[in-house]
Amino acid sequence: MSSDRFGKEFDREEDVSRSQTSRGSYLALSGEHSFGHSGDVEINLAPVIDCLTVLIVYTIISASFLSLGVFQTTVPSESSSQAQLAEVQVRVDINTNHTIDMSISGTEKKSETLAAHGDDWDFSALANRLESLKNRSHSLNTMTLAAQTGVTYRDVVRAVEQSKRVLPNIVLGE
Amino acid sequence: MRRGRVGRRSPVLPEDAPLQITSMADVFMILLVFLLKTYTTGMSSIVPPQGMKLPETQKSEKITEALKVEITDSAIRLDGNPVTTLTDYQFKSDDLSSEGQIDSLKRGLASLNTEQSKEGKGQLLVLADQRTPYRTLKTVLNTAALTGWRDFRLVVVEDR
Repeated sequence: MSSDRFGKEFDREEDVSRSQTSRGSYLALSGEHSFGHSGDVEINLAPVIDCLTVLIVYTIISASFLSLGVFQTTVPSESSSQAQLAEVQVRVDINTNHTIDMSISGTEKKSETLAAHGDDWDFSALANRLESLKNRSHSLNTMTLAAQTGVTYRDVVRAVEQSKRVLPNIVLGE
Repeated sequence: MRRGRVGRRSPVLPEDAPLQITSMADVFMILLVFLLKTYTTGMSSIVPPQGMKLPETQKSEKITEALKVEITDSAIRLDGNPVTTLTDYQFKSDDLSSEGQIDSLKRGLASLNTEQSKEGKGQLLVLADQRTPYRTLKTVLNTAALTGWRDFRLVVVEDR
């Protein structure tokens, strides 16, 4: 008897909810859920959707999609003698005419100018030279990098990026 | 006779058809999870100033929090506070000392001396516009090095 009465109450609530849905005042999801009695339980998803929308908008506005990274460098000093301890020292100069001067001192002495690659510096050639030098002298870890006044930071960073593939320590010289 | 496409009736929807938002909730949930994941992995308080274009690279090292020096075309800022003004990335002659150092930056960095900087290992994040001339950058780095900030992290944007 009592279960019949509960069933009628449930049906009445369901009718009210349905009528509200039809008026558009509720956005409701009809789902077949069994809670001991046969009948539909309507989960109101409107507040859930509202919360999700607010969270998504907040996340999109506040999130920074820039992926930042760094290149560690330093400047020369009297105390930093790491480069001097290495058997080979390398200095690279970036010139405004898109050439790169590379001078090697120590046990191996050599100077070379890397020609321009069109209207650009040939940084991949620089990386190749450094790699072959590193293969010959394993203790080489540091390089001094300098640029002429007209060279921009962007191009210095490009040189640092290519050099860092071979040598971990870059010293920004005069 | 076969009826043409034009004559085909469009399906009639019942007036009280409930809006199925289950799929919408699913899409929203996936979008939210994706955004939150991106947000937490890329979260950093380091944001380049408006109008600054950082150099782009393919690969770089992981960024860590440190004291920031920003170089724009009009100013040099230390942790967000302007220390000197520039004119198209160039210093005014009276801003530089006879040794070619930026006095105001030197004073600002000296006031922020930490244990690390006292040992000459102070870490500095350098956010410079990609058009900054090397000489301007070098002047900033040399000035910082004199006050014990020698570990420079050049901030770049990873091009993914």
